[in-house]
Amino acid sequence: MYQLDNVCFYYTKPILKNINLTIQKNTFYSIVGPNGAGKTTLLRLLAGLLKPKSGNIFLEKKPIFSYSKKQLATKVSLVSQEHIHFDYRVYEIVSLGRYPHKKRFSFSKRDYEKIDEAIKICGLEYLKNENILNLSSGEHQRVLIARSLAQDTPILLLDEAFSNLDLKYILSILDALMSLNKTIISVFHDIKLARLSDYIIFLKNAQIFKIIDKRQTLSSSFLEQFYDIDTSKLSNIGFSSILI
Amino acid sequence: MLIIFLSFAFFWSLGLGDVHISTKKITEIFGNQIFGTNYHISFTDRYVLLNIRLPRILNAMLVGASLSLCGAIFQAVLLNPLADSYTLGAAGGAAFGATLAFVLNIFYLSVFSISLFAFFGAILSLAIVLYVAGFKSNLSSINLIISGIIVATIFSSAIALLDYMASKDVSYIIFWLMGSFDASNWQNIRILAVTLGVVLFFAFFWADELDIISLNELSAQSLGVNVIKIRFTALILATLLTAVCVSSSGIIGFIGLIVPHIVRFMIGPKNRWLTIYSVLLGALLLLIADTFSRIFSFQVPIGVLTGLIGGPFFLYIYKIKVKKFVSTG
Repeated sequence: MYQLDNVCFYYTKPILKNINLTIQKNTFYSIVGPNGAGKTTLLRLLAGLLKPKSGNIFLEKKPIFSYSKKQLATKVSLVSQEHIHFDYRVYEIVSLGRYPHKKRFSFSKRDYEKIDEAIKICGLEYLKNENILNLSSGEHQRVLIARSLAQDTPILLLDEAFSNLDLKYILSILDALMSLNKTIISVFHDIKLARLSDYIIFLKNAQIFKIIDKRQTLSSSFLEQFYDIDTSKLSNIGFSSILI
Repeated sequence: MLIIFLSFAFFWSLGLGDVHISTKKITEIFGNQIFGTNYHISFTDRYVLLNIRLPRILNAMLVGASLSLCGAIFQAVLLNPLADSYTLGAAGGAAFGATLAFVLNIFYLSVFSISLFAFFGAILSLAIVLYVAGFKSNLSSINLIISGIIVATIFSSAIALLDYMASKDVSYIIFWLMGSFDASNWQNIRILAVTLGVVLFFAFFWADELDIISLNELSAQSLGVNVIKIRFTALILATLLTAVCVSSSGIIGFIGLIVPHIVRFMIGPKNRWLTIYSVLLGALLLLIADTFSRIFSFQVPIGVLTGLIGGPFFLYIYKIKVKKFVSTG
């Protein structure tokens, strides 16, 4: 799906250096790394919201900036965390996901189907007519995921989209996403959740530290090196099993 | 529903004033004008209705509609429920521009020169406000309103300075700035109607985009909305409409803030309907307010009236809404 060649990005200090990466179709990737490692920047580059300072990003073999904004929005969608200031209903927010597909003044039958499907996957039927400002943070987050599902794109980028969600919803939503044959790239703060993915991309100091697939185990020495921590201390307080 | 109220208020206010004109006479005068019928009408009644009252009423309705539409647009593209032409300082800047044109006797472009100067003033103050509030980094509600109020204060001092230095009689300017429809004329009404039409068309056409932008900039981009283009155009259009309103009837505060809130409360925040209903309700409210200010013997300037009613309403919204999202930015 994606091909990244020597992608660099910086503001004043480098955020990402010489990233080379191939993303395969219908695969679930997760990105983990310490704060400031460039995880969010990488996602925004993949979403076409930022331009690399050097290097190229190809989406389906074409440079990502050869797509128009609307075309891109039919291929890639991004879920991050956002605050909403106006009292939209849940259904209205989710239906905005149809924007790249819908006609200006009306919804098609397919639009309605996709909206309903997204609401169902995220378990929001009972909140459909609720005011978004009255939801809990987990419910709010599920609404944003549902909007991206309604956008109906083959690629889904998640920027800590599962934070505040109950495990029950994380698992059922991920299950549904995989069965819909989507390519998922998700930033996780929590490495436990990253273990659910096919590949984990470890980012550190603006570079790709390592990529492992789900059959590989994570040795404690690797994690010590990656996070600059002493895992023996963690195991004393019962943390090691959680990490690995 | 609103349309019925509006037409009812329209006829009701046509009859009221120092010269009372009955509904029967009103229909007869319109009959004569439009269908060429031949009812006998006194000259005074005809003159008062067509040359004084009708322009004033239309002006009040158009300004109420326009300011409410501006408020709805500003609130959507700046993601800020407290924004309107007044709180953003755009109205103050427009008043400064218009005063400048008036004091310096700039009338090269006849009636358009005042509107044009008002527009430049409004753009200037909006640009300063957005720059000071940190438009790029975050759109904090509080920052925006504080810088709006500061910029408006600076401009109002500058207007006072201009008035002071001007060699001619400025009492007219001072009264006009307090907001008044006394000087309503057909020329202004035409300019207002055309500008309002254009802006309303864009707001209606871009309603989906406005909805998406009003949520979050990042997700708007990822949904494929050209945020920069639409936000920029919408700001320019709303500022233009503000400038036209200010040049026709001075500063009328808070109506653009209140109306979209009431409409959101009634029908929800979807911009396709929010814009239309704001226009109707804004027209209705300002028409009623102006009729009251007209039939009182002491003629309160309309800007004073909306300030007295709208100010407390603003405080109320500030209290309940801002608390909710100040902490979250």
